[in-house]
This record gives sequence, structure tokens and C-alpha cells, in this order.
Amino acid sequence: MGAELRIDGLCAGYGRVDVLRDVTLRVDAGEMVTLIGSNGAGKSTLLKAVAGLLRPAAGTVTLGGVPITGMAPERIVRQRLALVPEGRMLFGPLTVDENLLIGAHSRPARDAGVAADLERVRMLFPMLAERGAQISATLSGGEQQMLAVGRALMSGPEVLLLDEPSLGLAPRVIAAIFEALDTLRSEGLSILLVEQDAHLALRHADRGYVMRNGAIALEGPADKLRDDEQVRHAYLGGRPETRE
Amino acid sequence: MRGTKVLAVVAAVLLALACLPVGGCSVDGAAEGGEGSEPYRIGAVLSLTGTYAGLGIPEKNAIELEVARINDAGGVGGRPIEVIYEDDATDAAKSQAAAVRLIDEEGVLAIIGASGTGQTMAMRADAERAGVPIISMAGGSVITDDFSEWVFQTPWPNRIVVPFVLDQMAAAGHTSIGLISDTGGYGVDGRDYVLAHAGEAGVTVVADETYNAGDTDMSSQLTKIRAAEPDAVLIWAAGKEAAIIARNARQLNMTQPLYGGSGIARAEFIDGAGEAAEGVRLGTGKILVPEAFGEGTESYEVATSFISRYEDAYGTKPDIFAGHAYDAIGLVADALGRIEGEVTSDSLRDALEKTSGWVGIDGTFTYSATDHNGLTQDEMVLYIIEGGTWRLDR
Amino acid sequence: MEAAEFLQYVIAGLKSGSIYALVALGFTVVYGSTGIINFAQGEFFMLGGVLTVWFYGLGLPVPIAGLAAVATTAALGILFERFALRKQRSAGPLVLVIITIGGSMVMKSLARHLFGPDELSLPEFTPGPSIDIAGAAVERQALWVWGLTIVAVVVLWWLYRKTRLGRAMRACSISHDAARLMGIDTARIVMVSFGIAAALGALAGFAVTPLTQTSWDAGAAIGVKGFAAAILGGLGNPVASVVGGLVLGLLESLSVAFISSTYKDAISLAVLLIVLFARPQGLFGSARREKV
Repeated sequence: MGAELRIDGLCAGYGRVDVLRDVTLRVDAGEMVTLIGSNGAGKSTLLKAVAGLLRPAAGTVTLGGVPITGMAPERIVRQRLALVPEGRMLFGPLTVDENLLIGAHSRPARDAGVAADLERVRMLFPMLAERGAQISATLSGGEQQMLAVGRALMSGPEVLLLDEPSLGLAPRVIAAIFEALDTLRSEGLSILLVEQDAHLALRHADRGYVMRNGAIALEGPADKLRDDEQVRHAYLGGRPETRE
Repeated sequence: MRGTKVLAVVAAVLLALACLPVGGCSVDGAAEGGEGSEPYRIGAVLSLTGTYAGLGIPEKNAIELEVARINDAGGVGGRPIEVIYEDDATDAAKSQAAAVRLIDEEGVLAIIGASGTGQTMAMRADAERAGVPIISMAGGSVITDDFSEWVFQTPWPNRIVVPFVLDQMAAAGHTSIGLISDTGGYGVDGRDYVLAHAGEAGVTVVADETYNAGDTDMSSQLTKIRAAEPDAVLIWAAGKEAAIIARNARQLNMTQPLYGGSGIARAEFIDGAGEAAEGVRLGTGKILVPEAFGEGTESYEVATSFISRYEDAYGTKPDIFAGHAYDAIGLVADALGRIEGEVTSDSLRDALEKTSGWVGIDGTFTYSATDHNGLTQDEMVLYIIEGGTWRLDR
Repeated sequence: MEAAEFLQYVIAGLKSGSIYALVALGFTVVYGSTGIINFAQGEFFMLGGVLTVWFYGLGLPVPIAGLAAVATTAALGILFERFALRKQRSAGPLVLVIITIGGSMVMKSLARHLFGPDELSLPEFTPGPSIDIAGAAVERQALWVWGLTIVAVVVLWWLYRKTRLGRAMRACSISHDAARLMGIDTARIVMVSFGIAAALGALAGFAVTPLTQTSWDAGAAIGVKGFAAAILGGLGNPVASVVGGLVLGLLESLSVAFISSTYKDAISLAVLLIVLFARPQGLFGSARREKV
């Protein structure tokens, strides 16, 4: 079951460099919202600030009404918000199963829900069941991304943040991952998706925000954004190149 | 920023703490003297910490005891003796720094020290530069073999002890021996003498192993010695590792008798080696069993008087190192008393060289312009450790 | 060379090697969780020995005294991390390493004040003659050293592989940020790591004191050798640290046998230099960089 995520007037940066300027956005319970924009617009920074890896300079973030601004990331996870970070940040030397188990670290040891969630993750991504004992650094890019999503799901989140999940992956793998995201949304999970591939994102999301230079430039329902002139021109004219 | 300020304070506190107990800073041991008389200022560089701490501490005890006795009796010619102590932490570099400090800043007439051979040699250059006599309490032969007109020695040097022990080993029928020595000044010096004089004594060195101060296991070296099948094993060591060697030898089930020199004539050796010390033989001076001086002789009187005074003051019998220190300060006091005219480092050195028949703990000293050691092999006896203590080995 | 003689050298090497292994494990556990070298690790070893002697002097039997010493040292390790290091976590590894050096100096000074400058002894756990194994003599205490080392290694292995805490520690050693995203309190993991490292060092000190005696300055030499062993095996890898310790012990012992006893100490330093130049990740490390 998803929760509502509200971000109000968030300002954050690295040292003296301001990256986010007064960002306001929300994800309603059970919605998939996408945040698109060019490189360097601040999308990753926003997710890091929400997940606690970065301390905001101003503004608030609430999760299901509970303020989580400036909390340590390990506490935010306990509030049921999980981030699938840029570059996945898997525990490479550990196996697939060990990564998944660590994903559940924030839950009490005797929580019966953990076993149930492990089953659910394996149904969503059958590959993970097959390769449980494999060292995760030896998985292919697509498999690693699935593991990263699965690991995040193991914390039992009500809000899931994803930072560019399609980056560097083959179309078939991307389709599988987004199919899984659709399933999760239909089960009621709230999802905030940062994507380079605006086509892909706007096809699956309910609503979208366009970020430019650290501020929200545009927002609206996904289909409206798909038809918007500026958006088409800037982000949808020809397939955007996938780097790396 | 607050963080760096806290760090600076912490660093300053740590540096201060580090300076306090770990040596390198001087401890003032001024004795009270007659009123209005300018004291004779003597420096003392000792190893109060580090692997030779077991030598330096009894040395300091002996010096303090004797200086108090001398000053209470009116000092030398009415003037008290004041000793300024420095701890070299068994580090030759620190000995040299201490000597420089004592000579240049404190202006001492002479320096008693160091406890160790390497540490003594490190002070030589500065002593010669400034013309300040050093009276060393270390047993390396090099101290007087490599002759300097400014350096004197009170212990029996390896030059005397090594041939004595080798002769005893040969007399007991051990014609092949295994040698284990440490790489410090005393050990290297001893080893050189053993290798040079073994032939003369009728003994062959079939194994020659070394170890470094601070090593905690010498079983590899002893395994190599055991493989060479010597009749006996000779240990030339001065630090705490000697006890470990004895234990290692016992645990390797080695049957060869163990011999050693003055370096192992210490209570710490017996304490540390425990059972393994039983049966170990060593050659050193007569202080451990003063009857060896011959009851009724002046040497016997001097020794027993010192032993009882030391025991009263410190609760334990003096060891050979306390003896070296007693002799050092005693020779200096005796020489000071004989100076006619102005007392300077120069005239003190000349007076020392005129010492003749002075009865000390290590023996009866007669120095000269060419002999700065003053003792002969007559001062040596062979002991055996039995029942946790030394007995004369007849 | 006869087999029995060769075996004797191997036994000597494995004896000191186990001690190096335990100390190396201490370095690795801390490095894994924090990315820094804890230069007070040798002092944890020293405290294990001197505290056991002290507790024994109070009348406790040797095994209980040892347990008390290990527990006390572990507590000291935790306090050290909590009060000396944690606040400076963001100051960077250099500052933290300097703090560990300072901690080492303070511990040595305190030990000298409290326990004196002299050698301290402990009786063997089970006194008796050496045991003959295929012609070589093995001290009973050496069996204790190996036994305790094996127990420690097995316990650590079980901790890392089978427990939640161990998984969290491994995650921490790969990436602090990723670990925190999993809900792992990395600050607590660092503190626990110091406690474990201190306990390992103290265990080594306690086990070996009956053989070598101990004193306030016993930490420095063993610290260098344990560090060399950890580097040889590959910092951050517990199994590698144990192997590194045993290999270093054997190298020292066999160098006495086949080269000369003069170089025994130089061996560990030479190994350290060669590894750092030729293969900095150690025998078993992978070439990747670790993130903190």
C-alpha cells in the first residue's frame, strides 16, 4: 500500500553550489510520477535529498504526512521510503540472495513479511530466484538493475524512488523492468521515477514534472506532457542517446 | 572551526602526555649538600625505560644511595655532589642527545653512563669534542678497546668475560658450542670476541645465530643450533630476551647446558625463565656471592656494606648493574677528592687515570693513561643457577 | 635438512603466524568498516596481555582473567571509537589515522603508569613438557594459541556469513551510502568493528603472554608485523588476513633456517615494501578500490 510523498520548496546543493531551487512536487498514493529533464538539471540530487543522502538547505519533505526532512537515510528507510540509486550501488561481492536479505535489514528480525516479500520479488523477477547464489557483480546490467529494484522492495516501502533505471540497458530488459513497475503501481505502491528516456517514462507514468536548472519548469498529466510543444522539442525529438 | 580547535587541544594534550613517562625528558636528582658550597655537577645517562630498563633502574638506585651517603658525610672536600639524570630509553640516538644536553646546557664535569654499549659509543664524539670524561657502565669491549682518552669503563668488559667463560666451558669438556647473541652493541661485541678467542680456548663455534632486541621467539634460531649438535650453548645477551631463549631451549627439549656472561646475571632472567633457568651457568663478578671475595678482605667489607645499605633502602639485593654504578660514582668521587688545584673536566680526567687500587664492587681498580678499564680476569667467577638463585659453581 | 628439523621451523612459524593473524584480523575488521588503518591495534594486543596479568594478580584464575581482559579491551575499543573518532568522521581519513596514533600513545603511557616498566609474566594455561609431534617439539601453550586463533576465526566467519550484523558489516565495507540506504546504522557498525578488533588483539596478547611475557611497550613491534600480514593477505579480507599472518610467520621462521637469523625482522618490512610496490591489493585482494 502506497503513501503520499510531498516535497515543498526544497533547496539543496553540494557545498556552495546550489542545485535545487525551491522544488515543489508530490506523488499521491498509488501514483507513478516521473521527473524528466536534461543531464545536470538536478533530478538525481532531488532523489538523494529525499532519501537522506543529502541534507536539504531549506524546504520540507513529508511521507504520508510524517516529516522526514533532513533525517538520516537509515531512518528514512524505516519510514518506508526506498531508493534505487544511480549506478545501482549493489554490494558486488555479495550474492543475489545476500543483497536481497540486506535490503530487509531495516525490518525486525522475526518479521514474517520478509519471507513473503522475498517470494513476491522472485515472482516479479524470476531471474533472481534462479541466480540466488550468484555473486552479484557477475550479473549482466539488466539483471543487476532487477536486483537493485528487488533489494529496494525488500524494505517494504510505501514509496519507491528510482534513479534512471533504464540507463545502459537493452530494450527487452527495460520492458521487463517497466512491466514490473506497472505491476507494483497496480498493487498500490507510490513511485517517483527519474528518467533520461522521456518517451519511456511518459508512456508509463500517470503524471510528470519537467526539471530545468534545479527548478520545476513544467508539470501535468503524462499524456498532456507528451503532447506539449516544449517537451516534444526538448526531450522527445528523436530518441535521446543513452550514454555509457 | 570548532572541530580543528578541539583537535589541536587534543594533539597538545597527547604530546604532553607522551613526553612525560616515555623518556627523553630529564629527571632532576639534585642531592642536598653543605650550605653555601657549590656542588660538583655530574651527569648520568641511563636506560630507565626500554629493553635495558632492568639495568638503568638499579644503576640509578645505586648512584642515589652513594651520593646521599657521600653528601651526608660532608661531600667531597666539603662540596656536595649533584647528579643530573637523563633517560635514554635504550636508544643510542637519545643517549647522544642527552649527552649534548648535559654537556652544553648543564655544564657537567663528567657523565656517568650509559647503561648500554651502543648508547655509550653514541656519546663519545660529543664527550671528546667538549673534553668531558665518560664513565660507562656497559660491558662492551669496544668501549675501551677503541681507546679514547675521555672514556672509562667500570664493568668487566667482554674482553675479560668472554675468555673466562670460554675457558670454563672448555674445562668442563665442551669443545663444540652453539652461540646465540643479540644484535645490540653488547651482543655484537661479545660475539666478535667469542669468534676471535674460541680457538685459543680450544673450543669450536659450530652454530652462530642472532636475534634482535624485542624479538619474542627464538625457537627458530635454537632449532638451527640444535641441528649443529653442539656440546653446549653460549648466550651473549643483556636484555629480557635471554629469559625467552632459556625457555625456548627447554621447550625444544635441548639437553645442552647453557652458559652466559654478565648480561644474564640478573634477577629478571631467573624470574622470566622460571624453571628453565635452573642449571644455567654464567661468568661474572663476585658481588652475587660476596664470600667469593674472601671473608675479611677489604673487598668483602665494601661489598657487604653496600649490599646491606642497598637492601635497607630498596628492599632488594643489588645486582651487578648496581655494582657498576656504585663503582662509577665512587671512582668519580675518589678522583675529585684527589685533585689539587682547580677542578675541571680535564683535571678530573687526569685524576681518574691516577686511580690506583681503589676497592669497588666490580673489583679493585687501577687505571692508567692506557688502561681505562682497570680490572683483570681475577675478578671473575663462574656461577650456576640453582633453586632460583646463584651459587658458586665449584 | 631432516624432516623433524624442518617441521620444527614450520611449527615456530605457525606459532608466531597465528598471533600475526589475529592482529591482522583486527586491522582488517576496522579497515573494512571504515577505510582507515587503526594504529592503536598493537596496543589492543598489549592491553590483552597486561590486563590479564593484572586480573590474575587480583586472584582470578587465568582463563577468567583472560576473558575479563578481552572484554575490558573490547570496551576500551568501543569507547575509543565513540569518543575519540566518531565526531571527526567527516574530517577525512588522515585526521582519523592521526587520532589512532594519538590513542596508541595515550594507551602506552597509561599502561606504563599503571603496570610499570618491567616485563610481566603469566603462567602457561596447562603447564607441562612440550609435546612431540613427528620429532618436533610443540609447546602446550602453542596449542592454546592455535586453538584460540581457530575459535576466533570460526566465530568471525560465522558472524560475517550467517548473522544480520555480519551482513551489515560486509555491506558497510563495500559502501557506507549503500549500506545506509538499506537501513544500516553505519555509525554503530563502526563502533562494533572497533570492539571486535580490540577483542581480537587482546585475545592474541592474552594467549601469547605465557610464552613471551608482556610489558607496556609490547604493542609496537606486533602492530607492525600484524599490519604487514594484513597488507600481505589483502586488507579488508578476513580470510586473507589470516593467511597473510601465517605466511609471514613461516617466512620469518624459514628465513632463519635457510638464509640467516640476521634478517628475521627485516623480512616483514621487506614483504610490506614488496607487496606495496608490486601488488598493493595483497595476495588475495582484487584490484578494485573500496568505497567508504
